Amino acid sequence: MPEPTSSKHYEEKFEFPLWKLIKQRAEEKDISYSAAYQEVLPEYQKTIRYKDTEWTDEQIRKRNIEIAGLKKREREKGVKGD
Amino acid sequence: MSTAIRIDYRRCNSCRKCYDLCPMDIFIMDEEIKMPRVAYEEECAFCGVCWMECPKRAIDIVYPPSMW
Amino acid sequence: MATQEMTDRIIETDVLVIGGGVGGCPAACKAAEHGLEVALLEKSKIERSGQTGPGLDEIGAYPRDGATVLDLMGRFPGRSSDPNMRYRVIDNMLWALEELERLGVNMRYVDGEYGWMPWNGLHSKDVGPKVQLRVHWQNVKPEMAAAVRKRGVKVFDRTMVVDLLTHNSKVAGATAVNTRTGEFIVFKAKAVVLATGRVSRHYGPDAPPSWKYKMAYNFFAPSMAGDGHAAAYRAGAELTCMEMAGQGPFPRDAMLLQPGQFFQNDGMTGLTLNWKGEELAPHQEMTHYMESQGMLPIYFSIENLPDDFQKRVEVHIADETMIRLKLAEDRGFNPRAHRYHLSLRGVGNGNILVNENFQATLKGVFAIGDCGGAGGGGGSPTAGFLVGDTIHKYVSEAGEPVVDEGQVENQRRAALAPLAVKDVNEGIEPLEMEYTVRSMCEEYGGAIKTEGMLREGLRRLGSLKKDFMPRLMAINPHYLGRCLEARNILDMAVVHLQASLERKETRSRGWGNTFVRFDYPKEDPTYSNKRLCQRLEKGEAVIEIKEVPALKPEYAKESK
Repeated sequence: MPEPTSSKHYEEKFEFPLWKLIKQRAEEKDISYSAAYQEVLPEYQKTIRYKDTEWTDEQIRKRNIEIAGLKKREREKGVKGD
Repeated sequence: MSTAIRIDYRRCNSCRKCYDLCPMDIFIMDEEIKMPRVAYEEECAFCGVCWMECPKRAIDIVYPPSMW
Repeated sequence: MATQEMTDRIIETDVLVIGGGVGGCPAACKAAEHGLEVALLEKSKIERSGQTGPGLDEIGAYPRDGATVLDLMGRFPGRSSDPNMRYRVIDNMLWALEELERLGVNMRYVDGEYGWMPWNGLHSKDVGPKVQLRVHWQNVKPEMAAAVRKRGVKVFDRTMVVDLLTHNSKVAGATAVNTRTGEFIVFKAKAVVLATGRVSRHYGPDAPPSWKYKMAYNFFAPSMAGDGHAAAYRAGAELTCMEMAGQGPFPRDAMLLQPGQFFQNDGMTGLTLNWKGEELAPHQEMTHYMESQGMLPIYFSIENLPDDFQKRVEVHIADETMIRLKLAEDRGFNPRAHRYHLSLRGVGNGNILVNENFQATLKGVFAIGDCGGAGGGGGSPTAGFLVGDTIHKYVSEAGEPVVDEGQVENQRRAALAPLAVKDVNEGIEPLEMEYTVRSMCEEYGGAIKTEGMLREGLRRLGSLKKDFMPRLMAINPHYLGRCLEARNILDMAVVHLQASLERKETRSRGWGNTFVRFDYPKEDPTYSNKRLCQRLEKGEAVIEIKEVPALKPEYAKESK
């Protein structure tokens, strides 16, 4: 992982998959980016696991447990929290 | 001097959407060419409304140093 | 001079809604559905105005899925609003959802279903109840605007409020200026609904000599200059918690992602890190920030999110401010790898004081949304619908509004004065005035306040108002709008510093809800359950510390 205060962040050009689709659709049909997004959105959403609640909840649960542990360790060190 | 809001007049079809919708009112209508012009660029909020609403994708918004 | 001679137009209406955003539009629609005459003032155009002009990705919170109204109130403690008002808003969120659909606003998320998402923190380790609603609201404003126009509301776009009109301690309407034509308009109204959003332009990154591009859309729309707060205050209404109209921790690069991603992401919390890459617990960061400056900068990241959640974030960005996708890509920013500096930006809390029925302390004035203490993309329409639904009761008993010609004359003179300043060598540009106010708040207010600095800041703002404001110059009606904003920004900066002086303690209630005094570094229990209230009496600022009203017994019942 590049250091947050380094410039290595900018050496690789990153493309948002969604933005790429929006641009393509806008150019194909010669429409506004806003109109292109409305068209592309349902297709893009099909690639996201909204309905797989078992998997999604498992990811969230794992992360929440990590945070609970972190908060506990910090409180033990005397850090105040909300 | 660099500008952040750039209109491509080859693409503009004079629909006036940018002029009508801009939340900070930075455009004026140039009555000679009947196309919008950026008149108050320092008040731009980079909301992207003009850029995303333009039916010809004629507006480009370029990231300025002052936002960095 | 008679009103007709002083004004280009007089508009008579039952209800005047000032601010056509995500709160004002529902309020106007609902009031019109009751058969009332409604006029709506908007300083840009309702199709794309306000905080949600470019869009929004999520609203909430809703009492459902095991979470009660009281649960949600506990999550969002707020001294600034009457808890009974907040109860009503949360309690009516699901009703407002139906009302929004009735207006023609798209509320569905995927495959025609609602996008209910969990909120972290309500339950510590398990997946929280699904109380947040994901929305594809890139076009919420065009949809709301169509509903407004269809209902016969008289919409005045590019029209900015100057001041409220009052008679016998009751509101009688307002004066306004069209910032394209320069028209001065008098509105005679039985009731006024203020829906003008937050006070968020009196702080800002310190401007170099060129102030170009400092209107960045950090989180709150730059249109939010506190126009409603200022008009209410100048008319004698009370404001509250204005010491909170200051700075809070906010990502410096908000234009390259958006702040919601750090805590939400459909339930997946991102990372909070110090510069060494060590993880900090969320919401502990203000403490770290204050106590151990060697830990700075604090960074946010979503690099821990699995690919599926990264895609969801792209959709959220597109829904809220799609330009950020393009700007981030052009800049070489990769949210899957990069860390965002958590710096300090204006958070603009503090609102017009209202009671359970959204009534301000000036009779006939109602305040909703971010300017009325019940805001956000979910709270604002709910409050708007509630006021729109019940305001007919007030209107039917209000009587004929009486316009005070002396007030009209004063307001007209004050509003149009910048057009009369002709000497370009003498005239001061409104943006220069605004940025001077901002630099004063940055230096003398700042994130960590102290008495001496606050007093010096107030002295400087006072002399800015007396010596420089009269030279404010507008070469056309567009700049007249900016001059009106500059006046509001200055007035609210003074209110903010005065309130800050009065709160002699430090109190942290998490994200954006923290007040820090260098000279009073501890929490003082005399301020617990109290709030600072400010108003003008005969031109003098009066500040009182008042008890926050108790929650009514029928709301406090756990069985609800």
